[in-house]
Amino acid sequence: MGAAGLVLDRLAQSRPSRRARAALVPLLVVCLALEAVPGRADERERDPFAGVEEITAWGVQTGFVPTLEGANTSRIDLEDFVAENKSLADALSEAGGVSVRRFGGVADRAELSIRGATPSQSVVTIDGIRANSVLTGGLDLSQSCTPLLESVEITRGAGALSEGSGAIGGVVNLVTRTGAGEPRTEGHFSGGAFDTWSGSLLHAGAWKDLEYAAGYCGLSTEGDFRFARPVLKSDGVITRFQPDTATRINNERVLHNANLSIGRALGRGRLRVMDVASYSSGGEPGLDSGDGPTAGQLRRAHSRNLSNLVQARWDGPSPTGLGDDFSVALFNRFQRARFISPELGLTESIDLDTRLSTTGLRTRDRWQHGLLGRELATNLGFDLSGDAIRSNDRNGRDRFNLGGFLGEEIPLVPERLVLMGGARLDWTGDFDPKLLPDVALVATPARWLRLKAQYAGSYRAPTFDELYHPDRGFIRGNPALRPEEAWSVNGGVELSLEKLGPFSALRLELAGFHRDIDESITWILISPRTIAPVNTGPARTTGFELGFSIDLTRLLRFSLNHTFIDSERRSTGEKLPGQAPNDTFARLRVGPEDQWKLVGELHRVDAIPVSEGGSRELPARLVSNLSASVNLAKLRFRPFARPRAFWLFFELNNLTDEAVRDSISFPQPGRYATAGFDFRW
Amino acid sequence: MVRADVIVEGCTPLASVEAFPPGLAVLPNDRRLAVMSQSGPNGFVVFDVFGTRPRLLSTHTLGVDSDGDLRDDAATLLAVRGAALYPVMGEIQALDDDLALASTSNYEQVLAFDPTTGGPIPVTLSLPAALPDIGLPLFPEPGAQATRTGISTLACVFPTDAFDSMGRPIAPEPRCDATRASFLTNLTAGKARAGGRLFVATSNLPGGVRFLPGTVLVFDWLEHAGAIEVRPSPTTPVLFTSGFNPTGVASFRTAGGRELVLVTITGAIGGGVGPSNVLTEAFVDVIDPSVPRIVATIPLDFAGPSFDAPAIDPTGRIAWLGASSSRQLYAIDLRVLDDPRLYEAGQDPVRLDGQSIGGLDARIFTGDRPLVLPPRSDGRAAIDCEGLTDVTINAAGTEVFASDFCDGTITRVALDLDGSTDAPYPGERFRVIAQQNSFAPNDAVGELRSPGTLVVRPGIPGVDYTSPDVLVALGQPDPQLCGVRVESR
Repeated sequence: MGAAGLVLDRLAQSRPSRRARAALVPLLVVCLALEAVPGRADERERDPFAGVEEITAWGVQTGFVPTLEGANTSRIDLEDFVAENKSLADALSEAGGVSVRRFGGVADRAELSIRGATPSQSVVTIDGIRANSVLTGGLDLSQSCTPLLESVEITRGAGALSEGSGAIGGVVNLVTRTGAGEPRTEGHFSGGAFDTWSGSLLHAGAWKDLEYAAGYCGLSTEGDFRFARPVLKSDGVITRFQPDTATRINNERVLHNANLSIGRALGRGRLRVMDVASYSSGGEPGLDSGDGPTAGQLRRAHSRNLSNLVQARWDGPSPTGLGDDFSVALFNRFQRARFISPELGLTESIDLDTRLSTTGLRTRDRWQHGLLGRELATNLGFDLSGDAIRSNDRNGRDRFNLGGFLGEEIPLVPERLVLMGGARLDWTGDFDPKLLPDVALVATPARWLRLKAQYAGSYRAPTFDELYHPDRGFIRGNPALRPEEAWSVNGGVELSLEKLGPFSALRLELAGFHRDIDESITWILISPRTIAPVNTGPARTTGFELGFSIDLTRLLRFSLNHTFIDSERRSTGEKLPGQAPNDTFARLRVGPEDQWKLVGELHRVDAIPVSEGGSRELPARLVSNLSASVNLAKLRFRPFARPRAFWLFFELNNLTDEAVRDSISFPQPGRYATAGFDFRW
Repeated sequence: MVRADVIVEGCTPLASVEAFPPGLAVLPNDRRLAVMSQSGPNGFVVFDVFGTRPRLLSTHTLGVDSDGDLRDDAATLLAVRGAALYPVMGEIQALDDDLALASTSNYEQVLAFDPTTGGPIPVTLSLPAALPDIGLPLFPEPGAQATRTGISTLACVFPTDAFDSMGRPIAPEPRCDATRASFLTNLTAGKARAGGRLFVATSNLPGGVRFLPGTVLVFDWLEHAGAIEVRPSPTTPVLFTSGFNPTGVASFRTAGGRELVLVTITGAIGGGVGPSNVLTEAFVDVIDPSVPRIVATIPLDFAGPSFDAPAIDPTGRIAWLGASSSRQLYAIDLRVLDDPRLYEAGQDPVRLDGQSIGGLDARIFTGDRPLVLPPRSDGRAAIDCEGLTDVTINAAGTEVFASDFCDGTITRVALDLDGSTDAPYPGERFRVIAQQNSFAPNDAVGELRSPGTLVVRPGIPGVDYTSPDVLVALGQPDPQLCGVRVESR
């Protein structure tokens, strides 16, 4: 097929708009003209463009906005970050509307915030099963290992219809590797600053009718880094700690992650058993707050965490006949957390051993049917789970959660305008059931353009810790807490163009949001000597997020994500703490992606308010990262038999050695480097 | 750089990562200056309080060698105590306009510093050749002298027939003497200079709610030619208090001209709120600094007073105490302390509860008969907080001002001390005359709240100055010093 044929074929497939078609006409004319140029027959057989003078054609070719999975869902393909040594926290922090709050360096705790919500106000699932801690509500992102993940799906805005309690800010789903697709073996090994070593190995394939994937990922770090002590300024007077730098001590950590996925046909569907396990053990240096060279850090505190999530899921047509895409999953999530702080001087020793378990059932059914000449889709879901906590510091507790939803997709204008509406009835433990409506309108005037709007209610039931933390005098839970309640409205536009003049693969996403939340739960000093959670008054969060990416030839790719958040606690008019008003991430990749690449990143974060009253701010910062990688397999280098890829990489983080903190008492490392290799068979 | 901005008119945030500034004092004569202690980083902060809002003038941080012994504090303590700890700042007291004292715990000591700059003041320490029943491991060797900026209050003490607050006998402390009941003092609290001596209370709380017997360390305080020399009292280096947890210490002169020291003894207190939080009886001990010995004790029942020094009126007739777990005040009549029978040698401390010699009774308001302060006038009382009050007396001695941590209020109580009356004063002579909602209730997230220590400025409001007359240290949402108009409206 000649070039003109290719263009015509693409035109036929893409159904471009009238304007786009007009823009493509010059390109078609050029291609037809080129086809008329004579050449040798064998050359033309090998390459229809051989000997043809290259002419750059300017025009617009539309693309496709991705299939709608949710009103505000986007997907991070972790393969895009191959040979860049990105952690899950790194990958998420590059996404618009998402910020990651880090409590240290490599393998230290990192928490997710979507559109300014707290970590416990966002749900993180692994292959659709909730992974948030039922004890504290959040999830430590450092416990996940990206080589074992395929992709990350981010739903911004209320996700309560599908997930129920906790999905106020949004939902992140971590999709693990499976045996689907071609057999493959992947691995990586790296070493770098702070005596950090990490490695992973994953094999996926099929044996007879059995699909499988098994992987391991591990990390070991000493974790000690130098950091600058906070410099404080009030009323024009500057106060410094002496000495003004310190070393993060007792920060070593070992992480082990493993996943196993086995799938096979069962009946008219497919059964898949998935297990994701992680174990971490390391020091807990605690706060940077005291005087002296150790900065008040804990020298001997230690934690160990073990978690395992197993699910058996069957996907197929509904056995009732009233559904097309049906899935049912049985799951169990187990977590054991141990914290030990030996007696040190005048303090008493602490030895906490907590076991958490959630066992449940999750079903989903999608039923496409016709009504009055329209193709409708009905989504049904049912969730049942039981949480249990057993600990040496408190009485055991159990809680049952029940939820179900019904959603309808109504095409008001077929393929152009869809109304999605639904409601969920959710019941958590002893709290009253909540009815959570969700309505969204999605307009697709062209296949490369989408407009969307959503209005939804959400809530979060208090966690076990918030309700039942043992009364130790200085800290206790609050059984009288009420659930947090929120209403969110958001709207936006998505644009996708395959070609725009010399550029290609242009993606633009702009979304605005507003959230009113009441009864937010905050830990405060309720009496002279006791901290406990309380329901606070109403607050609102308003903002927008912008995502943009574009290619210039196959050698350059630029992407930019920006999030603006303006929040206010109604009673004070001050911003909610912990969230910078502006967070911008820019990334430039140079080089053919499959051969070599240089990647430069800039991450600017505004000053972060860190006190409830709004008087204290952490400074704004600009952090830059640089990485270089080369795929030796493309350079005809063959260290192993027929590798698909063999990358060598080197990265330098925080090039300018900025003193970075997301929280006033948790320093992050300055400049550090990592090198390693990454291979694919 | 972590920026702390002024968000409320009249208040200035401290440059500190910790909440709750532990110490606040105004200079006795200079109406312009106040000084605070802070942690994170440890240091002193000097404020100009002449304007509407306190203005931060300077800070002085302590660094790793707070006592000037040329050794890292943590390393020093590790060798003695087996724990590498730095000081935790405590309350401060301005003895005069150029000398103030600050308590620190963990690294137990009293720091001497210049309240106008926060800078250290050297003190010469020495140890008598022989001391009865006390060991001071961080003092110079007997017979030697050393110049320091901190007076160590880490002491081995040897109580006899003593029990802790849970009723268990005191065991030998191997680092003191493996054969005798003993312990190392900790939680250095209030202090006062009187009769040429320095009295320093140590609360002695090794952990949880287990209190060891309370102690007051006694040092000779010698000043000549501007130099200060401090040494443990050779005859009575330590006094054991009448109850557990001695905290505030104040010196004063009675109406009859006798110089005395009062020690607040809160009794064992738990970690909660309300009357059930008070575990043992409270007292105010009276020390005759000239001997030195405890000459009297005033029982307050299960009052659980706050940790500050008693607030004493300028004429030395009455002292007031706040409450650590309730919204109330306590008061004692100091006039009975002029009775010479208290000072007869060789007798045990006299219990001034109306049942001892001559029926002397100093109790005005006690745990059983407190002066209850009204809850917040707009009804927004913090639900989980039953009160934590601090008191001070105005410069004229006519009113008590009481802050409440929980309600965020300042309550004014009028004093009627004039006219002849038998001791103790009847409660009717004291009445609440006003209450102002100066700050938010303790559970109002994000708002300025949790007032603690409050002090009045010297001088007459409206005459000597026109700016706020009361300074209050606040803890939430971050540490601040606020100027509040109470009388100077």
